[in-house]
Amino acid sequence: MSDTPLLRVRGLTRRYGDFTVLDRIDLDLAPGRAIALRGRNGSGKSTLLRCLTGLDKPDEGDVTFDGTPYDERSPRLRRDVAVVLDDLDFFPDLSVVEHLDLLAAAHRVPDAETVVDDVLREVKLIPQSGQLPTTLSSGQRRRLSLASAFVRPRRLLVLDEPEARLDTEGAEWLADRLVKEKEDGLAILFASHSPALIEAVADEVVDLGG
Amino acid sequence: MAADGGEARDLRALIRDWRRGRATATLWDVLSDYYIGLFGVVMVSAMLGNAVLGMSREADRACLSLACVTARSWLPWLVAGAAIALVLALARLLGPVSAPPATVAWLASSPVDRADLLRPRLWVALAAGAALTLLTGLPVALVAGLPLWAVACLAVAGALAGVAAVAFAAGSQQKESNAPARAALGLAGAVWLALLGVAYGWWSPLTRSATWLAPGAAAAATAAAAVGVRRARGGLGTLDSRRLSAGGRRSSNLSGALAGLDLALAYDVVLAHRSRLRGGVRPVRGIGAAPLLRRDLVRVRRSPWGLLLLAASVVAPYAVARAGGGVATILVFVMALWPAAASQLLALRVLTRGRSLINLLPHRDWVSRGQTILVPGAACLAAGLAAAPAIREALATSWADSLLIAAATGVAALASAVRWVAGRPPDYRVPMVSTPAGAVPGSAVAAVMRGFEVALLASLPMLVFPDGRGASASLAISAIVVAVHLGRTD
Repeated sequence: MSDTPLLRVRGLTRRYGDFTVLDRIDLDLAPGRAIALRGRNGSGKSTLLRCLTGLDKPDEGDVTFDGTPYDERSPRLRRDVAVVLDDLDFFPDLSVVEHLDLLAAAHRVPDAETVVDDVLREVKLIPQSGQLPTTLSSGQRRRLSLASAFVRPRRLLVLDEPEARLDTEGAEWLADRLVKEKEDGLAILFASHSPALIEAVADEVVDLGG
Repeated sequence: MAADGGEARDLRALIRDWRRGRATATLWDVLSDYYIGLFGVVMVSAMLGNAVLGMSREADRACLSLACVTARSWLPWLVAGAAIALVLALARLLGPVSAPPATVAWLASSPVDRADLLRPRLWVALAAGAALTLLTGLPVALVAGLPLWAVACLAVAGALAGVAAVAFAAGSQQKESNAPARAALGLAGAVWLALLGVAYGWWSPLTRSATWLAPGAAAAATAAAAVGVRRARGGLGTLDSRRLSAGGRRSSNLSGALAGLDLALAYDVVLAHRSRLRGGVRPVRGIGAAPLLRRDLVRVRRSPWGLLLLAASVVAPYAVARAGGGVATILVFVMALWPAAASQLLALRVLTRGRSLINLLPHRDWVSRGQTILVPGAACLAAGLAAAPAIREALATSWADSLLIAAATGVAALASAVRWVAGRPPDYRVPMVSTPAGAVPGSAVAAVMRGFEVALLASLPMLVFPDGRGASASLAISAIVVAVHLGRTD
């Protein structure tokens, strides 16, 4: 494992009016390591992830990925960073398996169908593979969102409360999967309310308090 | 349904009493505050009425050819058919009998007689159906040059046909039948065939409207409305909470989108409804390179209705050209084609309404978005070129110019559709604009016109110069609009 940070955050600050949600946050995340963000509701965990991934604009601070400024418009960065937040949209007329096939094909994954089938089996969505996402339960939609991160190449995983809406068995699977991802050399940054998931996966915990 | 609990009427009165107790203004206060808006509505209605009567007089003077007289005589029947099909489709989408989630949770779960609870909602739906067909059909009946008694008969027929359509949909809602959708589709197909007949001169003028057709239609609509309403009322008590709340949720979502003047968001609600109805598909695997483009091909194969709609809209320029529409044929064609084109831009809509999906794809945004317009673009171009003979007839121009103008109309429709699906939603942070209806955000006014404004702008050069120069200018405008929206940064 390299100790050179893949993701480096310096002095990241986000304010809403007079209220400072994030105050000069520094982070270094190396390949094969996992950082968990912890804190009460409203403490800024999701805001930090959105600022890091370019979905929100910090008022101050820098984010670099692999030595270059983080720009979510860059195809190279999109290839390397898999992000699962809580707002994944779906095509209303494409089935579960077609969404994953589309993503794998867009990323030119060799033998995409086998990879997609394996991930579908892992997230237990094989019976739902022909269903349209609008008909899935919220837990199944969450599994589909997580599957979207695992059918494509990735060097950094960014996850916002990945355990949300998963049943006990799903939460256990998620912890095992993230540990394996880390062993494979991936860097993981995740926000979570689950002490068990943090305990199992995180090498470092950043407490945002709140 | 046995009514062991309180009377629905008493509960409604109780809720009304609570609400009135908290009201901070009387109805008179509200009317006083909005009197300028009310005057505005009266003035605009009077102007529209005057414009319709003026058009009727102008048509009496100028519409003398056999083709024009035929088209004019068929017009009210075609519009009435289209309006009833629209009412059927909307009724099915919204219920037509529906209740907000709060009503379902708090009242429908109580032992109150459900039929009593829902009856006022049925009346509202029936009145809305009547209003929609009446307001659509009446101006057209006036333009058709019929005597006033025949116009009155058609107005009654239209309103009651709207009532009958909603009642039919309510009866089908109780049985969870798909009949209203099939009826709407059949009716739309019949209207299209009738329009085709007008375009190709198959029909003779419909002179019997002023003798027995209009009163006959009024009598038939009265009978249909009476039977339909009786049937719908009888089955109200059998409507379960699931069917009531589904329509209520859709109504809330749609009214939220429409209150924000975001028509594309309202379209998203309709798409989500269709998706839930469909439930699942047989997956198509192995898509390889250019996945978004290939998914569009799968989409066309899976649901060819959008392409059929594009093909069907090609009849519009033929009908207008035959009726002597001249250069207006171009504008009518672009206006008919672009909503059909918008229905083909589903992938572009999903990739632009939020960033979550496009961020997953390892391409520049414009590359991803660009893939989603290739299939719809080719379809629009083909539809445009299919209208070249009509454009040649309407403009009396050369084949080369006709083909260029036809291609430009197809591309203009695509650009308008791209603008509609990929334009930014209304921004309520911009300064307000003063209107007769009160202060309105400037971007909200622009949102209502979205798509239409590009259709007008891209058509304008061809209306002024109906030759190769106008077509070239139009193509340039369309290309700029498409490029701006594909390259849009958020």
